[in-house]
Amino acid sequence: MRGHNHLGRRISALVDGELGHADRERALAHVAHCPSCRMALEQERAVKARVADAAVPAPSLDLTRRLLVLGEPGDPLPPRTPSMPLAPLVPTLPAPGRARRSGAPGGRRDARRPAARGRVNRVRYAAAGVLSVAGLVLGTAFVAGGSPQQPGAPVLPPSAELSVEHAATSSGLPLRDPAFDAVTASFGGLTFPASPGR
Amino acid sequence: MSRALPDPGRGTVLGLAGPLTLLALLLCAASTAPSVHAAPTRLGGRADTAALALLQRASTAPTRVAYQGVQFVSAWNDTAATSMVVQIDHRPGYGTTVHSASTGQGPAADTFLPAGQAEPSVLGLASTLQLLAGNYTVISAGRRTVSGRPADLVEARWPGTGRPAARFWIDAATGLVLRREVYDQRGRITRASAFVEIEVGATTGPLHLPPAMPTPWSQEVNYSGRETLRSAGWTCPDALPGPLTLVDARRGRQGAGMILHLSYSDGLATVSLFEQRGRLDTGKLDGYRRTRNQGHTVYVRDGVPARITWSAQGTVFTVVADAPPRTVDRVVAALPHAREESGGWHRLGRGLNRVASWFNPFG
Repeated sequence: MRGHNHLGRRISALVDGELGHADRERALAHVAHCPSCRMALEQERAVKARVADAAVPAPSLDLTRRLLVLGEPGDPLPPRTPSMPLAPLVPTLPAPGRARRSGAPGGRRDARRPAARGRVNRVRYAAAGVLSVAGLVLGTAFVAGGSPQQPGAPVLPPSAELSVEHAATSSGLPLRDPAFDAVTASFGGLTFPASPGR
Repeated sequence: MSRALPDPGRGTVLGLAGPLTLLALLLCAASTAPSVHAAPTRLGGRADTAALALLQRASTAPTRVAYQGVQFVSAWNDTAATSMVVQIDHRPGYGTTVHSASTGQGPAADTFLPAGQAEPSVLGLASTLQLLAGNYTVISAGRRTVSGRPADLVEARWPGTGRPAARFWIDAATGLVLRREVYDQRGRITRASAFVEIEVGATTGPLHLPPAMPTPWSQEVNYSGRETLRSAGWTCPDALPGPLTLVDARRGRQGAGMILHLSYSDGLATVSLFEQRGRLDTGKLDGYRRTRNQGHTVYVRDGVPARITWSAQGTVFTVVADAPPRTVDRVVAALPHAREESGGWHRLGRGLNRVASWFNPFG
């Protein structure tokens, strides 16, 4: 009997504010007098509050600083990372403190940039050259490797002569039909257009 | 013309000791097959002695009986079929004249087969007849009538399935084969011939000698010769799938190059394997179509007999066969084939080797 009076699934609806006015009043009146439903209601609220908190993580302080630095004027963009790992890929973003220290134009870091950029370009050109030559060689090899080449001089078997030789030796076997062998020999093999046959 | 020569390595040749010896050997084969004379392959047949005696009589009848008549010859395979009507005039000790009328498939032709045309050099006549008894179940199937003449029907059946492999209607009076039919493993007829008219003992003889069928190449290759060729890299199998047994081995020439000719038989089917050094000149092959046989590229010329050619390991192989298509496929698959590396990496590797060879001053 008591089971009918407990809130059951309506606890979740009550926490979510999904009950109508009359139902909400009746549920709250029941909770006021029912310790077990009250405890269930409190647990439901706690769980949902925790889930709601976890759903929106707070950004870390470090990440916030880095994002803010991106919007600051002063430093030129860092060099683009080449497609091949010719240089370490990690320091693409300067640390916030360092960026402030080297923020003035004409600093020591800027003086080294053109030389570094030249090296990168040379490496890039060299890589492109190597790739082009490799592509040319592989393309030529792919074309040249089209069909397997067998050893030896080219031979064209004398088809008619071989058929006659076959008939000549077969005619010596017992129970052969001489007419068949004679006709085969005279034509060098009975060659005729394909027909349905059977 | 070549005669049967003993094959010292195999000890199989029985010689021409006369019909009685042949008959005795055949009767022996019926009770002991597989025998040491037949083949190094599995022999699964059995035969009744009456049927074997009829076949032996039939195999020697042309040496005793003159005849002339009209015969039709038909052949089928998976891609083609043909039929011809020929006039035959046979004289024992002289030869057989075969006249074929012109058809849409070929002109009229006269061919003369001299008597005593080549006997198999490796096995000999009697042992070759044993192959039939060893590889097939041979039974006598009663008396029939062909061209108005009483004939004994002998049937060879495929072992295992019991389907007919061949039927011979043998003239009761003379022993001549009046009609014959050969079937493949599926029971489809592959070759048939029959006399529609025959007159025994009557022969007019040719007024002039028509072109004779060439004799087989004269240089026989005996056991030691085959061993020498094998050690030099030639493929000389003693048997092929079928099971087919080596019955004859010869060598001929094409220009400066040698052609090795190996003949195989199971008593009904005949398969010739030709080997030549070199690689197949596929660009000049005329009348052949490129196809795949059990994963290998080969070139096939449609017609009868079946002709298939390809090259591998520096040798050009040509198979000429009067055999069921399934047997031909198995024979071709059992012989060497080039390794076909068709993937992109294999092609790239081949190409790099060729490119490197262009710059190799010592290559």
